[in-house]
Amino acid sequence: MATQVAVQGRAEQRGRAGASLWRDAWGRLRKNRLAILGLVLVFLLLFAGIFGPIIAPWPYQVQDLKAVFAGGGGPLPPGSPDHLLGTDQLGRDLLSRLLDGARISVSVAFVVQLVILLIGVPIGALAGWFGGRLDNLLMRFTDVIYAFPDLLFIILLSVAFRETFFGKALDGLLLVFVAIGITSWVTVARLVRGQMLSLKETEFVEAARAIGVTDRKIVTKHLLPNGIGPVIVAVTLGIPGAILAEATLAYIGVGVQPPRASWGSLIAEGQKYIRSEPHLVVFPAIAIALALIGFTFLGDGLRDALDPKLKGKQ
Amino acid sequence: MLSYLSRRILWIIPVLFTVSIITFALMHAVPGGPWDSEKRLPASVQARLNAEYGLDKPVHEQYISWLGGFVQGDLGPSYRFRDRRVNDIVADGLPTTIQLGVMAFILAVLVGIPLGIFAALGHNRWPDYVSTSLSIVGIATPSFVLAILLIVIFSVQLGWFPTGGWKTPDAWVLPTVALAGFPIAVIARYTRASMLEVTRKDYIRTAHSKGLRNQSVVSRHMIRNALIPVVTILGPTLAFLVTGSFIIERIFSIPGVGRFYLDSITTRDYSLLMAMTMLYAFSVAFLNVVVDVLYAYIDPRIRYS
Amino acid sequence: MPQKRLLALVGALAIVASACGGTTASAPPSSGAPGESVAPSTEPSTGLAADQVVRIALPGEPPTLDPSPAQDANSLAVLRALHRPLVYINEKLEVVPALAESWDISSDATEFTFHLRDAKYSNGDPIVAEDLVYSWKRLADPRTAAPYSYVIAEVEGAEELLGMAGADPAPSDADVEAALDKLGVSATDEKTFVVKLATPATYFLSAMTLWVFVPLQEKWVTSADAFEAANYVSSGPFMLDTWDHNSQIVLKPNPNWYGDIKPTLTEITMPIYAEPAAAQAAYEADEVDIIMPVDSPDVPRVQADPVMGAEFVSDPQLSITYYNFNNGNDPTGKKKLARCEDAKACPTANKNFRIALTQAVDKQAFIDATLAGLGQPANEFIMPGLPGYDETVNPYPYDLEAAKAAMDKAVAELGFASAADIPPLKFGFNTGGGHEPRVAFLAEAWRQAFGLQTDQIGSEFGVFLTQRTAGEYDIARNGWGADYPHANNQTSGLFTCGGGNNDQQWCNEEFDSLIKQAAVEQDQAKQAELYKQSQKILADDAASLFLAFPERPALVKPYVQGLTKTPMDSTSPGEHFYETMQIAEH
Repeated sequence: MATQVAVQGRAEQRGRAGASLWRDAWGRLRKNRLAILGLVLVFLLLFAGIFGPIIAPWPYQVQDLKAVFAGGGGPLPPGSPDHLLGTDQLGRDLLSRLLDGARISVSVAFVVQLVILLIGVPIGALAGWFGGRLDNLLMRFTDVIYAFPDLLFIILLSVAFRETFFGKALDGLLLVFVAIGITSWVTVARLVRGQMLSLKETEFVEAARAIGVTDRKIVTKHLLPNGIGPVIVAVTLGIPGAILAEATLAYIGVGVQPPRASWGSLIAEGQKYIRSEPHLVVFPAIAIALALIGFTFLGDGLRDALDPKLKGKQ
Repeated sequence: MLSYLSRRILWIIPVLFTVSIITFALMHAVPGGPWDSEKRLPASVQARLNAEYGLDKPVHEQYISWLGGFVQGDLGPSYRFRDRRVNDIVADGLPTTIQLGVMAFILAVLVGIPLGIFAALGHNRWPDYVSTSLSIVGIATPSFVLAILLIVIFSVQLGWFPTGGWKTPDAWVLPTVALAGFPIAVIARYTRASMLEVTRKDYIRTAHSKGLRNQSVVSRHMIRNALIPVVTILGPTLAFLVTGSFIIERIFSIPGVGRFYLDSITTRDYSLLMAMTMLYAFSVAFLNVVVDVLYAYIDPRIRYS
Repeated sequence: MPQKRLLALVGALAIVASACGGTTASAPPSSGAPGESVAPSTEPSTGLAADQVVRIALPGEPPTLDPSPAQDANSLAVLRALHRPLVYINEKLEVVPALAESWDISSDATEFTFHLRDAKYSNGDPIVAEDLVYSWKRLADPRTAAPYSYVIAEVEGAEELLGMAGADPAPSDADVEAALDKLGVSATDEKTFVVKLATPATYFLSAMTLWVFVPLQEKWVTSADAFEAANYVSSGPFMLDTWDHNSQIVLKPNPNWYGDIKPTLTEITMPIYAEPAAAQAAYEADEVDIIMPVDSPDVPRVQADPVMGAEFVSDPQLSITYYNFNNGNDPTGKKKLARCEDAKACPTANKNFRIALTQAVDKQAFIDATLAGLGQPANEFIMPGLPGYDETVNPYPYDLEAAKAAMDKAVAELGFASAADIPPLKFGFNTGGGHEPRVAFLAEAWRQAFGLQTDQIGSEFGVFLTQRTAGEYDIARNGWGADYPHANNQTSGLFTCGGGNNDQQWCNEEFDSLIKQAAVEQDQAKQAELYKQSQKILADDAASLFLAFPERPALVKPYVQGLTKTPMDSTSPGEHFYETMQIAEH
């Protein structure tokens, strides 16, 4: 009895040691200038995404045709007091549409990664924990997903289900996000599996098993929290890919329903005017670039901060 | 090793089979058909065409007949280009697409890896910032924007290269650069990251403490070990090149097969769509095996049973 | 604008004056000797260049170069140079002799006897009447499954053949052959081709200018790889020299061309540019001489450019931009659509509602904002330049007050409290066609006028077509370009009950009877009057939202001369008469 309590106590200490891992990581993160820049950019994106409609000077679909005709027809260039960043050919304010696009990018960031986590983590965990034939089966399943032409799948899926309720949710974006998520979870699954494989042979797991902690508790209370670091990094670094995927899909014509506009569809529309009114492409491209920079630097910083080999060395 | 290799290659077959079934089912689940046009075809003509191409049969029967043809190497007739067979269409365009992809890949490796090494060696000083900024631009600029910019500047304004086509070698330059933009940036970043990781590793510190000159430390240990994780992203990079080529081929009017990747969906050219899917799936699966083997070859710590 | 009206009037008069082969037993052909009826619109100002090569951008790979099943604009752009039918159009849209040097029409207008001129194919074989019998039978043959097979419907025996196409079980070859033998086409001798119609059809001569009626040699068409460049046999001014699939097509003059105007060009190169921006860049880099159309976003920049501004041309077309209102009927046009049983579910089935929507749209502003100002407002369907066009028809001009009054009536009839209470209308369009600005313009106009909400549903093309045909949209984007220059092509099938292209499922018995009458009315003036009446009915009922007759802007290098332009050009100005094109010294 006494030994059990003692062992359990030490196991809990390990858990607490896990908590201080996070505090160490935060300390390291704070010192990384690029990572802080990334964090700031991500916060700006979140802010724009949440408060965009409130701070936007125009509703995103209103067409200021009077201004367009007064300017001689065609999109307005940036600089006028009513339209700081200019308008498109129908007189819709670019700044307001960029802010609306921020909401979509924020959704991309979260919904896609959520889908990836919901599918990838359980599959990876199961494969890694049980190993053997289940592992083999699941890994071959990921091979199929990996080999599948993702663009094709996303387009087919979007087109096939466009008319359903699911397809119309969030102006058609939910379908796109889920489709992107379904084709992108392989990396996270493999990562979680790898973590599971290496962690399950460690001593404290053997000890926990020895005192009779159930498999499920081992996985959920010990392995996942300790192995979650690389997964967070992968998720953060996966967001740029998802944002870019949405932009490419917008170019093809799959994705957000008008009159809403994502940054990707703004670029796709604007690139027709690249010779005469480049501001229609430049501003959304800058917005995408800032978002990508933000998530990339933040992800790099998190990876550096959570690397256990660096503990105490920096 | 050999048994591992043969097992992996054999696994490609069930993977392709599964992909083909999913694609075929999805393809027929999508509304619309190959005969759709703004000026509608008379219903009788559509019915006749459906009968001729076997579209009036149940989906699983159609799949079986497609599969029967596929294993014999016959990809079927094109639904859109009524006088041509898919085998001919693919044979016409595949060499061009492969050439474009290989050239872009070589460019990406030749520019990306040195760029990443350059950044890592100049860590936190100007080489790092410059290289990282270039990488960000490369990643953040969609390929179609990059392509149009290249055409406007180097073709229309300066007249150095043709705006499109694939006839003369000077037509190869701009599309290759446009396609390689994203992979260069990604490879540069991964190379930099893995080089930095390697510098922190114990054996480098050991080599340093042994007094080895910096140069030999760099060249012998760092670069070779840093390349290991880079090999892992070569797989996805090659996959990107295959799909990314369709936008580039469209904008530069290059007669490859990449453009059919998307066009066949829009025109509901079922047999061409299946051919493109199988092509893509096979390339990715095969390249995956190649990458894994390469990985094992380079990293002596990994052993496959 | 007054210039366009004058042109339309002149064109209308010319067409009315030209077709004089109506009531007599034997009539001379319409105008002048063969070949002289074509007058190029520009003469070269300087001497001719040594290199007579023109490069014309083609927007896509032709799906086929087989004339019988061809329908795609890219196929037609090439086919017009490779084959010519018995009769052809000229730049004034008159029907003039081509392969046929003269013809006789029976007094009841059901029998046409064509006298062929001496002519040879590019392979040296003579063009004989049997080849026409073969190609016409091939068009009607259900086994060819030609999209344009319906244009032969009026010929004796054609109905039976067309009906065989969708039959289940499929008819045997013997049955088809037997039916083909009964088709009303025959060759009384090598140079005489006779067509018997089941019912008189006054537009038939105009329809015969279509590419599906050209002569074809059976031995050529049935040979292997017939339509590849190496084996291609043409009867027109040019031959197919090279076809690099998905890359380019090269045409060279046909040495056996029988027309009086022989090509000056020694080569026509047609590189394929799938992306309009690529074609534009190629033109600016001097890699291509003609591009059509110029993408809307580029038009203002091009017009303002010092060099390209002078090379920019924009001409009226026989085409119309119009948007469907869902009239609440099923595809036969006679029964109510299931989902429209409840009138509230389909507000556009209410006439006052449609009138309100029409009057809330400033069509000129629409053209200026979304078509780069190129085009004129449309208030009915038949295009200017065709008999039947009535410019006085405009029952519902732009008037916000009247629109609100009509909307109030509609809202009361439907049982809503106000327009804002109507559930969002489903507004469908296809993505990738540049339609977003037009749809957005209209949606915003209605929102501002009535507070009406719309759901702008952009779908992929195939999905969009399926939904539109099924009547799933309340308003859907649409467009039409004339196949042949006659009002019948612009009415029958588009607005007749259960018509194949009647996507708004509008049905009006009076309209149908007017069209049937016009089809057999031989007096040109009376015929035009009947079509005008039909348009009045169409406009009064606000059957569709007629928006604009758009122009098709193009860029042509200044050294390309001798263009014979028609309002039916779609890939290049002068595409119906490449034989008159010349390259001036430059």
